[in-house]
Amino acid sequence: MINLVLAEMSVIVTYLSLTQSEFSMIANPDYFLLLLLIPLLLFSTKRNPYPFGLFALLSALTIFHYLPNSELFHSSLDLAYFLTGSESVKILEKIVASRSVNPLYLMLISAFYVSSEVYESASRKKKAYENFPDLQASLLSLFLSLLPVLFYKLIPTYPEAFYIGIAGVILILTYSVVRR
Amino acid sequence: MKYSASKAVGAAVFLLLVGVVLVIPEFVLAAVVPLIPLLVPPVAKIKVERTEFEKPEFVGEVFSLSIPLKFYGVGVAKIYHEVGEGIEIIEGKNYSTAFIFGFGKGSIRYKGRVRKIGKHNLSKLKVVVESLSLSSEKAYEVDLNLEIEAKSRIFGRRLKELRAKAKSVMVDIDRAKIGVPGTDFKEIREYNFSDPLKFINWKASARFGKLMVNEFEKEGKKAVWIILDANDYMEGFFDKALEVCSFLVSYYATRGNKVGLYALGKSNFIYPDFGKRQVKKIFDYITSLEAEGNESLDEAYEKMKKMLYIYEPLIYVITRAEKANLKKFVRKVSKFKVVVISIKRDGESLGELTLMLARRRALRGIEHRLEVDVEERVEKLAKVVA
Repeated sequence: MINLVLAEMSVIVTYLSLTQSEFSMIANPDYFLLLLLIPLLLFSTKRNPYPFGLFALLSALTIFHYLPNSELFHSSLDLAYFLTGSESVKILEKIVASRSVNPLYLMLISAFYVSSEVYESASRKKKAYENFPDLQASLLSLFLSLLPVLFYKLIPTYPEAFYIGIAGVILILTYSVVRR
Repeated sequence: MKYSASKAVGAAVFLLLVGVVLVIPEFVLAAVVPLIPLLVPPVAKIKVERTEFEKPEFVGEVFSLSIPLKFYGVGVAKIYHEVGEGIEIIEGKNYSTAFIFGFGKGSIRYKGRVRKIGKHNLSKLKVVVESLSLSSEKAYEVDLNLEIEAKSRIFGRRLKELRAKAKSVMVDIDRAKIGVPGTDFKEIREYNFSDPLKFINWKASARFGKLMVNEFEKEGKKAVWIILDANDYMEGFFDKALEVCSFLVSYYATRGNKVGLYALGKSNFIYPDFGKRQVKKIFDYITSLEAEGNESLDEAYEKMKKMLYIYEPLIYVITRAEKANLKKFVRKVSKFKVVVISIKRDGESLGELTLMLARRRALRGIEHRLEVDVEERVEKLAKVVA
């Protein structure tokens, strides 16, 4: 049940990110609310309502929100303008470049996913240990996962997010390997 | 790598790849998020509070144990109190969990019953603390210094109060088949080679035209032959079987009956004899037995047939009626008096009810039979025998 709630919250966060992207100009993002049915269907078939596939899909959809920050996207637009000389490409680039992005959406989706996986793992252990504190473990993982969000909220100016992210991932993975 | 850890790393790698390929810094930053819970290692300091433990003295006694624990650290603790094969948990559980975030409390509470004679070590308390992301764990072991030394209820007891009640023991009226002839006349029978000449009844010999001798009752009481089932299916029932056997041995051997024993499943027997020395001999032997043999009553009959025909004893079979092939055996030894003592454990589960029906079917038609529950005190048996 916890996983279902986390999955539905992730879908809503994805929907919110889409409403604030240029995608809403092309198509109605309300159609993406149909994604809410996927966790429900999985839950009704007694499967994990928040599998990796759903997480990957939702993360991929948030790309529309983060395109203004993508160097690759801007390069592609420049190339398209250079090759075709279309005015619409230039207009699109102007629209996209004028918008700021919010990293919270992706962070929240990731945090919900990790928390659901911890809950899933704890639920398996609960079969052996009746009073296994699955809910506490899951909620605390959610809290820990949201620490970077808190960090971002406290210090919203992060000019070198790209390098900080890469360094963070490498450091954490190295730490995990060394500790093992 | 543990389940949740592999998923978290998978998510991080996915976000990192998307971020690097599309050059989106937010994706790379978000790749850190799933990895944060993995950073918290499982750490715990364990403190055992006042342990409540009522030490049992005899086999079959129920004891209760309570181990309250305090934890300091971070993680999810899985607590397991190790109990040996000889302890049966009847209420509660010997494992538990505790959530630790700075401070945590947990406890183990259960009621157990001692099933085997001897020492049982209850000192080991194992605690495995898992990290909050359930990705890694650390094992701890706490020494509780708890031990049980269980004795059999019957050993070393004289059953004085029962001696007074037991005035008409079944075999007291039966005489021994071998031994020194007494003065009580029994019958006149045909002369056999090696019969003493002084027993020849000349008048009867003249009447029948062949040598006849007077037969006198032998001195001493009838022998008792106990067949103790030590086959593997007696596991869980064997201590009660030992208790019953011990009672019968001390009861008859101290009353002048010769008592012999056959351990079914071990193909071993102890020759019939009486007195305290015989009691000690049998006690020493049966306390070393384990229920792990595999021998049928038919096979056992072939091995002890000779002894049975020499002593013509009262036979006690201590077994589980539903498991041993009793009817065939009882038919074979129909010449002798046979008492079947079936050890049972009654309950309300379907399996136990099925066993009860099978036992009833197995005991049907057997004249002298007795069912002893593993929970019952052996004093009830004493009343029946008396």
